[in-house]
Amino acid sequence: MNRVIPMCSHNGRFYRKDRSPLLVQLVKQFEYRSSRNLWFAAFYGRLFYQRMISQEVHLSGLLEGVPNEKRVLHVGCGPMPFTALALARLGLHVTALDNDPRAVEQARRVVSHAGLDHMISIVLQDGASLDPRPYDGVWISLHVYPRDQVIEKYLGRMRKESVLLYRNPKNILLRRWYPRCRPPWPGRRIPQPFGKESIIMHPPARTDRIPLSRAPAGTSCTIEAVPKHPLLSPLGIRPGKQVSIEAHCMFGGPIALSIDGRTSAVHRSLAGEILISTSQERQVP
Amino acid sequence: MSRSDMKSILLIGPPNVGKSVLFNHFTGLEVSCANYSGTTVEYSSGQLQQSDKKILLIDVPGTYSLEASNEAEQVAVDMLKGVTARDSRLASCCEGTHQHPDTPPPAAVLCVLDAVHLESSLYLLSFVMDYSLPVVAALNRVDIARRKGIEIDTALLAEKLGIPVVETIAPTGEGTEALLDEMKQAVTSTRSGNHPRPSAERWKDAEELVRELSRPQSVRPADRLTRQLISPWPGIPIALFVLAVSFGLVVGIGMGIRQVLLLPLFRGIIFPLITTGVETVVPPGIFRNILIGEYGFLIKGLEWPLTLVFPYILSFYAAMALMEDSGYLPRLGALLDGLFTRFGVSGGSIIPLLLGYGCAIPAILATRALNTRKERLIIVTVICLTIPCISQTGAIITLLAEHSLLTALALILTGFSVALITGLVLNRLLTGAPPAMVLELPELLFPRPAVLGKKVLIRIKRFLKDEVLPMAGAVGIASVLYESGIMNIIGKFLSPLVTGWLRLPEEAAIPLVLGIMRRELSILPLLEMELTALQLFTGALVGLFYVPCIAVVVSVAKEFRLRTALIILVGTSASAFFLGGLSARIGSIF
Repeated sequence: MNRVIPMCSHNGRFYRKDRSPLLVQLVKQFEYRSSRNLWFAAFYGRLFYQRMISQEVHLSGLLEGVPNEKRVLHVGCGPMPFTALALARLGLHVTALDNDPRAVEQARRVVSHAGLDHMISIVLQDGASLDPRPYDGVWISLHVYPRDQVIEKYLGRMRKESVLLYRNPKNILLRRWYPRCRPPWPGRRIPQPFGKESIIMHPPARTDRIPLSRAPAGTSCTIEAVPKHPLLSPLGIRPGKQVSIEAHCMFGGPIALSIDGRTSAVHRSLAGEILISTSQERQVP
Repeated sequence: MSRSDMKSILLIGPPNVGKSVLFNHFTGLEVSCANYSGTTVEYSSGQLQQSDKKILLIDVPGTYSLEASNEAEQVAVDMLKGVTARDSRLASCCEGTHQHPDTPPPAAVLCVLDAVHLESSLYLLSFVMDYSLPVVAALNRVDIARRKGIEIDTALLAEKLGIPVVETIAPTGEGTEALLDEMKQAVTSTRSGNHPRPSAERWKDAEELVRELSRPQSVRPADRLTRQLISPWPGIPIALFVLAVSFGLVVGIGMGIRQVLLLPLFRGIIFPLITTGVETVVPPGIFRNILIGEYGFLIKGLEWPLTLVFPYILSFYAAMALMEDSGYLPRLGALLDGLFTRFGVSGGSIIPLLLGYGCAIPAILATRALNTRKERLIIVTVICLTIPCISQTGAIITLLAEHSLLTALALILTGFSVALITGLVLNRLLTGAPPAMVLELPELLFPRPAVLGKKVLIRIKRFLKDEVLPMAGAVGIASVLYESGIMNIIGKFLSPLVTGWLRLPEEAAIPLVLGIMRRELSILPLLEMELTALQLFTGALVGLFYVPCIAVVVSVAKEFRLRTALIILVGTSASAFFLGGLSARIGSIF
């Protein structure tokens, strides 16, 4: 499992590890302070969360069947656990995590004020160390850090029929502060107001296979499956072949790869259908 | 001897393996070749030289397999089965050879194998071996393979395959004599075909055979230069540099040859001779004017093609040959693909676009290598509308650059922006899937000077043989129209458009009439008029966007439909007049 993570952590360049994300701190502070004023909290929740969450829940399919028996995990609930509240109001049992003691304390207060103690339990724990297997659905907040690693870890462990949901920044402003996640497996994207989008994902059938388009330049791996295309197999793009990824061309252009010393450029959408195994990954000197 | 009695040999192989080079070598013909796949889009045939028996060699477009999954493969399969022109869709002529494709079933097949990428060549060969035809294999590009450290046991390969295999290096002609002997023997022999198998098995066999024949290769990443050329940095600066240098070379060398060499020669020596000669023989009057007057057939009919177009033919095809043979163009295509998909075309279309700066007709043929019909239509429209052929470029440079460089730059910028807008609009208008490119990036090769020289020579020969006379003829027609006064009538008739809308002098109707025949003639007559800078710009702009020449319209109609050609015809002239009028009005503000 650990081998998969470095393949995708090239997204890590979006992180400014040396700088603490200032906006995240500010939002946290703001949510913490304003959560004491419950009237304001209700307004804030309506503005930023309500529509988004109800849309997410409906599209996630969790309301089908018996919602009462389903358990949902919310990672990074913060002092104002709107996601948890909304999920609980829809009849789902929620476990909400946060690794900040102050936030957990405040969140518990908000939950009991809403009278949803029997539906929501707030737990002080780091999301990365939790086993997601008992849960039918997992919500990952935008400010969970490092989000892409948590998402990939969870997807690798979750039950097949469960669903994972996370949010990505869409507009340029938010992108500056929150890294954009690009897990290697496909998901369903739902545009949301205020420059966000939600992505609904199901655990992949095989986590050791990822699309070729997600392999970073400079790596080498083995091809596992190839779509039917008259030009791919003659250029050496066939299962079992060792491929080295040369470059990702700009503006969403093709991916340059070479096999047996033969270099070709393959359009990104087509490269997304070529599956490679991550187990033999190694850096090309 | 009729052609049907002739024995024929099919030349089959994967793309970019050097089939056309071998073909040219054996037949003495001049089919175009380049270092990227898809140069040959139609088959050509020619008689084998250095052979006492009459044998016809047929160059088939490169294919990776014979499963008939695209047009080129269908052509190859049809030819292997020996389909005659009447019942196939092969009835079109080809560049350079113009012969009827009434081909008998072949007597033998020459399969060209790529020593560098042997595996996929053997895969193709396995399909060829299914037919009951004698097969000779040429193992080409052994020099490049050796340089890459690939050694292939040719004798063992021949033994395993059960057919003769000859090592060749096509550009130098090495091994071609032995190959010729094998071919002569093959046409008289027979062979029974193998049983067809599923392609997975064919791949497995090919892989195994390669493993037996050569030492196992370590996984080699592509050369560093390739990676640099297709990454934004330093790829984009390099691309800009290469294009700027090519443009500079084309214009600089072209202008240099014209100013230093050709103009003094023609204006100083040849024209005075002609003028005195004509004046002594022909009495003054219409006839003398037709010969040496303002549009004098003997003066302008020689000056324009030979001193104005010819230097640019030389410089453009030299620069183009460099780009073609080095293998840089596919890399440029990969670099630009992300940008190009915004306009509905893939990066590979950079090749027809650049070819279009030479002549639109080979560019239109080259669009066949593109994947989708939408892509082809967009590229063909852009070429017809905004890309001047080299003759027209020569004319524009002479017209504008010799007056003011600024107008030339403005024209180039206008051309580019109209091309971009056309792409954006057509991308919206036309339906079709977005392009998904798969492009092989061939090895970067250092172009061989001898091959480059030969390529340029072929172009010059073709220009002198096929283009000078039509151009001179068109000038002749112009001079007859002018001197007989018919031009005046046409000018009066078109004057609302020419003087009213475009604000050009009445005689500027001449290039509009002539431009239909040949693209450069929509510009050249303007040289003889006293025009202001704005009028020059307007005239050149109209000439640039004006109808592509008749030959281009015909080939568009052949490739697509008559309707498409007519739409392009009307669309280009309408936009030419619209933009011309606009420029005359906007320009007059300043």
